[in-house]
Amino acid sequence: MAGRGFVASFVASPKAMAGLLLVLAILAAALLSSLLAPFDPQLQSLADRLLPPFSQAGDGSFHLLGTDQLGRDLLSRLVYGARVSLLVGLGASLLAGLVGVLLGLAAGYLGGWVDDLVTRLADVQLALPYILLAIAMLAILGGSLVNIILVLSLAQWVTYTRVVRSGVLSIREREYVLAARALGIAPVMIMLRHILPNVLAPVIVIATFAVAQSIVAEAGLSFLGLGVPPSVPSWGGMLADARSYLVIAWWLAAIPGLAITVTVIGVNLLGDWLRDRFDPRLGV
Amino acid sequence: MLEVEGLRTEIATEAGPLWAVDGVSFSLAAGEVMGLVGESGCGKSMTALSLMRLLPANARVTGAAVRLAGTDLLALPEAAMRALRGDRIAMIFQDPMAALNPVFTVGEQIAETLRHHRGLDSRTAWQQAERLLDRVGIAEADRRARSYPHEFSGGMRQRVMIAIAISCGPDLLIADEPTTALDVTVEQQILALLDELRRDSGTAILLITHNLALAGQHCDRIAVMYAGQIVEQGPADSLLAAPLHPYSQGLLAAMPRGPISEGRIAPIAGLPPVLFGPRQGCSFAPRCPHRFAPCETNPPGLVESGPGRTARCFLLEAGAR
Amino acid sequence: MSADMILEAQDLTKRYDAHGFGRRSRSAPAALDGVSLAIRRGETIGLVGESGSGKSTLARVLLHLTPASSGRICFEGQDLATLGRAEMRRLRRRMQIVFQDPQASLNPRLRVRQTLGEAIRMAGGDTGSASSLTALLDAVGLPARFADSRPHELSGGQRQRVAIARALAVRPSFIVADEPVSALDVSVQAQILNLLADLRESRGLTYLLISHDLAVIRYLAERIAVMYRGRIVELAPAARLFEAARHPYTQLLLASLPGTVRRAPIPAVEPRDSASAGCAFLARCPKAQALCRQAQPPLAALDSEHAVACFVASGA
Repeated sequence: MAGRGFVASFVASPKAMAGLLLVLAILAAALLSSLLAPFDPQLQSLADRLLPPFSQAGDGSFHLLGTDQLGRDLLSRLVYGARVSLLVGLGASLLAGLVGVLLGLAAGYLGGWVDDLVTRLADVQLALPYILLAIAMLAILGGSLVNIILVLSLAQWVTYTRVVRSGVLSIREREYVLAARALGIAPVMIMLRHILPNVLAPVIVIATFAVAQSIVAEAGLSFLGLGVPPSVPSWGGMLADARSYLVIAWWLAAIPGLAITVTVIGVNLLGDWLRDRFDPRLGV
Repeated sequence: MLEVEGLRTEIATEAGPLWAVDGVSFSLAAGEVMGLVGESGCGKSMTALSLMRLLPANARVTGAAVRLAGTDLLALPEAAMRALRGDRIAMIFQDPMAALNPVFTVGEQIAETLRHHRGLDSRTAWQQAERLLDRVGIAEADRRARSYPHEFSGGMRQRVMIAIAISCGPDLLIADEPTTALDVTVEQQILALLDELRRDSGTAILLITHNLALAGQHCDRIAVMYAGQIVEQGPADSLLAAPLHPYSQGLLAAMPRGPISEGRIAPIAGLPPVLFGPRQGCSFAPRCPHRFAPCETNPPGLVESGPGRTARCFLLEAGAR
Repeated sequence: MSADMILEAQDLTKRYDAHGFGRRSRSAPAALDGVSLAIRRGETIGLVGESGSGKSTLARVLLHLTPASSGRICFEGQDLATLGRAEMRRLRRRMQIVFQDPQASLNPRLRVRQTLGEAIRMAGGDTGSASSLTALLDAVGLPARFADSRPHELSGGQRQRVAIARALAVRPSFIVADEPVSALDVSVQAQILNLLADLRESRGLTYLLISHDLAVIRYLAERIAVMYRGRIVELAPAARLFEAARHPYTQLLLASLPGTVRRAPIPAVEPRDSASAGCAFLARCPKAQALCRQAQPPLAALDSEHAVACFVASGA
């Protein structure tokens, strides 16, 4: 699949380029935080609380995006916050995706008790409200980045499994799969080579939405006090904190909110292009 | 009844306009069955959709005139055309399951047409629907009218579609590959039904098919299409007995008729052309075993060659070869 | 099993149960209802029937792509039921299948060279060697440049050729062609049919050719089996079938061929529930008699070559 066509079609698509640009920007923020952030994100300065963007602090330092309720530089928190959001967003999506796709493949292709087991598990999972699950797990395990990713993955894997399973069921009887079986190819090879690539298209779309959902979900968890510790900058946490200051310091909410939006748009654009690219008939 | 003159349909694509139908002309008398025969991509379905003006948004019909009992269909406003569809001119398609709404009973779907075009009240329309189902050969019509499309077999669904099509007694019925998806025994029944209906009501039928032999069995006249044009036209019997155009000859020669030991069938080499823009010479020339000099440079015009027979080929012109 | 029989199937039945819990759905008719067939090495046997006749099911069951509900299949002397999974996979190379829909029979993501490469690998060949790939493409009349194409870039006929090449790659002795030309235009049909004939000559293949189109069957088949509702109703050498078919259904099929005398059409009937006794063809048969209502006629031999499943035809 990769190769000459891949790069060429990427460059030709303005949608993909735009998406990539946005995602790269966010990635850069996450990876190069220490270089990009003008201040230590944890540095508090109660004298310089709630400064609007483009302000100068008492000691002459320039805050491009202002400061929050504890006087911490917003830009720095934003840049460092990218790490948490991306980690949570991508991490939860990928983990859920990996587990969900594998389970869906197995359930769809192998059928029988495997299918029954997976389907029951999925039903049970769906019956539990995700918030209760999150609260319970995080209360027991404690709020850390890894635990949040685990909890969010747990909430998301079912969607992947269902979609992949139904895709597999429909492809399993296609003639090219039968032909592969007629050649004597082993079931695992058939699943990986013939079935998996052909069910991935909707998975890409789900994954991109899931990234966005995860970032927003993390905000919710932070708001409930179940997220990362409040000192660690995260966009969701920043959003949650900003609630009390909406009227007097709108930028505290607007800026992380904008960051989340931009990231989501970027990821969706990329996902759109990837999905189109995966369909071999849509002009590779 | 139907006169088509110089019908042209263009489809806008990224690579330029595609000439799907390029100067098609024919006429159909009341009660006559004409077969429009060709392989995939020749433009026969496009011709039908152009007559009905049911084309996708990126297609445009140009060209002289399409007259149904004197009225030029191409010149009508859309509202007037909609009034005609289902009433004076009806169409049946290849896949009856796709054309029938699965959530309504078949009786309801027939009655809907009647209510819409004839303004009948529900009760009368329903009774008429039952009568129509009986007319198309569905046993226990009153009970079956309350069944849903998925409860019928393929052949029965096609009969239902015919019932809907003839419900308002159209002047013209276009049948686009109506039996391609059906078993051969059912196919014969459906075509016999269509034959019976046109003899009773004088409806003209345009039968579109890729099967030349089938057209020969059931049509009065045949027009063979290739690359958006009619390349040969004539009475079914004489056309099949002695086709004039090399493509028609090729089609007949490619059909298996006996065991291979009695002779190999001859495929037509190459692939049909994709039709962007005006032609350089005859569209069939690259695949024609008889091509000679003029074929490559000028598109051939229609030449008359015998009673009611025309063909688009330089070979038929006096002094050719 | 005699040495020159490549495949022998006895009393095959196939029922599709309601999913889960092993419950039998009594009203679903059997897709295959006691089919027995012996195919000689090197012959081309045609299987003709309409939708619901079970011909595609038979193809898949013979190749063990779907298990039969009951019955025995012996391929080249080996009872398929006795083979372990690995042995079965090895045996599969000897019997291949070509499907009706050229589009669905190729993985849309793989290029031709990858699809064929996989098959060549299964045959133990060297996929790196361009020559085996080119040789295959050549055998089916495709220029080498098509190796890098994806299925959607090919025409129907070209895709079908790739499917045939894939089947040939593992050097089978037996090929089932399930409606190999039904989805193709007439001029392309002729190409594929001639290709199948050539390959038969050059590689000594045995074919089971399945089609609803009698003309196609007639072109290539030496013996013909007619199926109706899951059973073989007539079995005869091709010439005999066309001259002197005995089963009313076969006669009906022959009457649908173009160029034959048109008869009065038989009224349309709905599919019957197979649970009721009596011949499956009863409702459409112009020659039905009392006996036909009571029992299913068995496939009985009229002479050494011709068998018919009809009480009337076999003179009961």
